[in-house]
Amino acid sequence: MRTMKSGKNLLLGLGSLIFALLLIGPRAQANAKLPKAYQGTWYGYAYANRVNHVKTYYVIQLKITNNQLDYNFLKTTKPDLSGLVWQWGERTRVTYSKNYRKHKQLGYHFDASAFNSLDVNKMQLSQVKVAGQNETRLKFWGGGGFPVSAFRQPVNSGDWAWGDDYEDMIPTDE
Amino acid sequence: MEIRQWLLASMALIAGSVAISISAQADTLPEDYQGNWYGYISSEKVHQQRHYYVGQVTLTGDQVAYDYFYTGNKQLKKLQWKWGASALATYKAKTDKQNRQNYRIYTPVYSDEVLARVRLTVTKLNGKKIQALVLHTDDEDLYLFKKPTRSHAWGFEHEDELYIYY
Repeated sequence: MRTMKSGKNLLLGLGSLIFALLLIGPRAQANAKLPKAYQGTWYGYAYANRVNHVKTYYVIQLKITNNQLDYNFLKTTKPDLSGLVWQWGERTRVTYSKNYRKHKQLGYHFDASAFNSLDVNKMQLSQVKVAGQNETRLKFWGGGGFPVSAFRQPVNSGDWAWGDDYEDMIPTDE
Repeated sequence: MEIRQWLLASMALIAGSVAISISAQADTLPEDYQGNWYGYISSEKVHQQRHYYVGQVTLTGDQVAYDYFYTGNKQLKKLQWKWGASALATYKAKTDKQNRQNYRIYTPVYSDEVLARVRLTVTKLNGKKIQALVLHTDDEDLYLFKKPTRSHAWGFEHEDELYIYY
């Protein structure tokens, strides 16, 4: 009985040691843990054009986790941006660091280690009015790119359009 | 009247054959092409440790993907993923000048251009015959295998060979 108990303690000890190592491990690379409010799926409206006389809308979908950034390019022929069909995407390991702006507002700087340059490298949450309703906006800017906004749902509005330049927000060519 | 009917009929025939040729543009990628393929890129010293870089091409019936890995392991085990890209894909079978079966890959990223073409071949690895996928882009033959192997190195200049992304 005694040996079993000490064995269990040893296992518990090992377990907490591994847990501690797991905690230290990622932290040695990432400067900051990204808050849950930033993580998840976001949508940016890109632009629309006509393909064989059919108006086609293009939407950029971003998936953000604590260590990965996914960029997906979707399209639909529905003006309400429903029925989005995935076309292609890019994904990369990413680390974050805190980025304070004016009035001590907290944003995050992100660094995709695999690529030499990102068109944008900073982001911040804010509240804006979209069609009279308050919406959470994730704004991206910095790194030579022009500012763009993403929302939790796709928003078909020219005011928030990224334009066709932003097909390459994450350039993989170095 | 008869001429008009004949004209209508032949127009319908032309329209029909155009529709058929459009639908016949895409070919099904055979099973033995599909799955994960690994190409060895190169190695370099990073902080006194040697890093080995591996590119993975994934082909399925309707998608193509490229993923970039590194590892400190000489046998290319425990690959660490760094980045990747994928796109919808269609394929078109075509024989090349040497009369070998090739499949051309098309993606919506660059709709009009061929992304790359692939063919299966058998090559020797450590004296053993092994199946390889040859990825042909820009007049360059890059070899990929079902398991990562430090042979047929691409070189760093080809680590971005598949332009699935912008």
